[in-house]
Amino acid sequence: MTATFQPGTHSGRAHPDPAHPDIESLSAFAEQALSEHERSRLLAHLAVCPRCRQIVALAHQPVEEEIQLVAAAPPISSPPQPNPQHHSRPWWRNPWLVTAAPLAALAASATFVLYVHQARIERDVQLARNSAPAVTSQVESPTATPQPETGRPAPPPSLLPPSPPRVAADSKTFRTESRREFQSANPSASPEPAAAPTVMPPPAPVPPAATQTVTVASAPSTVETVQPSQDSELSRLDSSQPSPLSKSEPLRTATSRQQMQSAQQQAVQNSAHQNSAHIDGLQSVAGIATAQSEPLAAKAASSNASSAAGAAPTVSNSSFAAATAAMPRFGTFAGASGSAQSAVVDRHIHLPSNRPAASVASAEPLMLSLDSAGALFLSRDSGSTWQPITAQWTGRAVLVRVVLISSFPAPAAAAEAKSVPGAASAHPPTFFEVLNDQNQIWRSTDGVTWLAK
Amino acid sequence: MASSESAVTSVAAAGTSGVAAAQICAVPASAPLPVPDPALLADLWRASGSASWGLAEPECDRILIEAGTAANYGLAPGAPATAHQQSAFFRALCLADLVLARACADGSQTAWRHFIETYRQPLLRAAIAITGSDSLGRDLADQLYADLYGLATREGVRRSPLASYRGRGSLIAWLRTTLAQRHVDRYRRTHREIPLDGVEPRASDPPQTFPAKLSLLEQSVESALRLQGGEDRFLLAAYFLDGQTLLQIARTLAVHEATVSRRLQRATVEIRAQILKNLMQCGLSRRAAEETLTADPRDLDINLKKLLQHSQSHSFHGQADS
Repeated sequence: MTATFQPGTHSGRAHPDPAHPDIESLSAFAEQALSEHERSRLLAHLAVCPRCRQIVALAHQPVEEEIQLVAAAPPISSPPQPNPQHHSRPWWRNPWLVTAAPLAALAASATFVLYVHQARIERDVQLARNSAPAVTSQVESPTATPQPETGRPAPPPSLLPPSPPRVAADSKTFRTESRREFQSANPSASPEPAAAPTVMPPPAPVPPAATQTVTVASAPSTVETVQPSQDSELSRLDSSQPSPLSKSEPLRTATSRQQMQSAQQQAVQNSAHQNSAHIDGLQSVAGIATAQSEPLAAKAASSNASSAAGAAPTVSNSSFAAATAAMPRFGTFAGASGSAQSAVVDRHIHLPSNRPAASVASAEPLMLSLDSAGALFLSRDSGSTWQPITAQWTGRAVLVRVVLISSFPAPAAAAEAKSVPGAASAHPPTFFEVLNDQNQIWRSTDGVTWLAK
Repeated sequence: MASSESAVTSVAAAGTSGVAAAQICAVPASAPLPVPDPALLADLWRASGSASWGLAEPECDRILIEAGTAANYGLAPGAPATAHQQSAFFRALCLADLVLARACADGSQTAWRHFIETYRQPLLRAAIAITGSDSLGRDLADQLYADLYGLATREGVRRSPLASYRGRGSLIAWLRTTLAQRHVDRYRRTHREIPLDGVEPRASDPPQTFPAKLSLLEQSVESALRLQGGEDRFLLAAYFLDGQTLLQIARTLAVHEATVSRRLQRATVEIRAQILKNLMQCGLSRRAAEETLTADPRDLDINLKKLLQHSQSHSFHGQADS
């Protein structure tokens, strides 16, 4: 820097040189404290005066300690006043602003999500308060129960500790979402009772086929698949496979969406003569008809058979609950003959919990119904009065059904039927089964006492 | 601006600061001073902490009025300042530094102790940084200290450079600028004394004949450079003549380096365009003008330093007033 100094005519006098601006102006220029008029004057002088340029450049060399000194000792503690002479840094050059803007947006988004989530929880809690407290206290929340590990056998009901009555907000939220998802997917479906209850017609005669698709409801998107009678079905029924969903998974995977639609159309065409039809072709049915929602079926159909069979136990709770929540429309069907009735969820069923029935199964004179919270109710008078059943299973019950072995009872199944106390001997062995959200099954013949399968 | 009589009348009518009014009344009629609001002066006196250095309110008021008058409250010379402009000017002053400097200039020992404790080490470091040498820096700082203390006398009166500080910038910046000025002046004074032993008489250059185009180019360059604004000329001089870096220039102007770079590029582009325009105005076609611009600069008899730094015919303040 000093090498650029040129011999000049300026002397080093202490008094101000009239040819140059005074030190006050130069220092104020270095600190941007001059007015615009003074600054332009000084710049014009600096443009032609190497001496003053050198002075300004040298005086402006940053010395950290000095900067800290100036910053630590503000010149005046007067009230803040607008300083028109000071060229402050514009607000858009503030580096904190660059950081603060996305943070503010993120905070706003998080606040909004939290608000929506909180409002949803409050709404569900309010809904739970409006429901019958006695029923709520008796029917435990399945999600509050510790979940058994997958693959480990469930403890017997006698060893299960009674779960404290509580309302699980998360499960309610989850159910609400499932219900909303269902309602959005099916605008016609509503938990309120409809004017005309959906009456499920008797199953139509189905020609024997390896895979039979039978439409059991008149809803356009309602498709229910029934596995035809096969001897292997009995063994599969009593096999260690815990999930009926996994049993029907090959069927679902084999049933493509197109097949479902064609079956739908066929069902609409045949709906006129379905009332008097019987399942003559299904003489040896260990029929398990599992209602499934269209998204679940489509999801299963989109995957190949092998992967779907393995993926069945890992069906997420949300998908499963969505399917369960959709059941009031599609119904839970126990395709059988004899005294067991095909049951659909009647929208006129008013459970003590004031929740919509998610799954209904009936074998006269008993009728079982699961509400959307997973609480089970028993009716001995075909749905007129209901009594809550204490949960004897783990997890959250998502499905209740009737398993009827009519013609060709397998030895194992018959023995198991006889071993169940209270099983009616006059009728073909009939079981009620409750399926929890972990694909574990509990059986009962009277709807009151449940044993793990 | 109000005359001294009206000033006296207004201050007396206010009646809030009798001592200040008496002080202002003592101002001779030949040097009328604008009278700010007495309430504002009283507020500034309290805010400046003048009482810590033993400065009374009338003395503080006089210092403030002198500072405002010397700079005409930051306005153009001769422009009258409104009360709001006066207030803004006073509020922008570094009042604490100003009263400290004035107290030191007046010989207050308490103020001097505070000044030494606060500014001795930073001033020494700044001097070393400016000179690039520890010994030169210490010498420079010590000499400044001696002058600031008022060892120099004029007509038997102790004079301190601190008395010229008016609080437009911070005191440390003022001290740094003073150090830089002394160092530059000393360097320029000592380097003027070049020994003649090693200097050989320079042979006169052979007379060269320049084509007409080169003569046109010289005139065009001179005209284009003179048309540039003050800030652009400062940028060009600081960058091309002084060899300052973009960062140094950016610190001086309190802008970003990229801004300096853009302004420099824009200035050079504008100068080139102006030269082309001047050449075309002299009768050359655009193609011929562009060919002329490709001439070797060494063939031109142009002293860019002289063009950019032509000496001023009159003083800085006289130029400002004109």
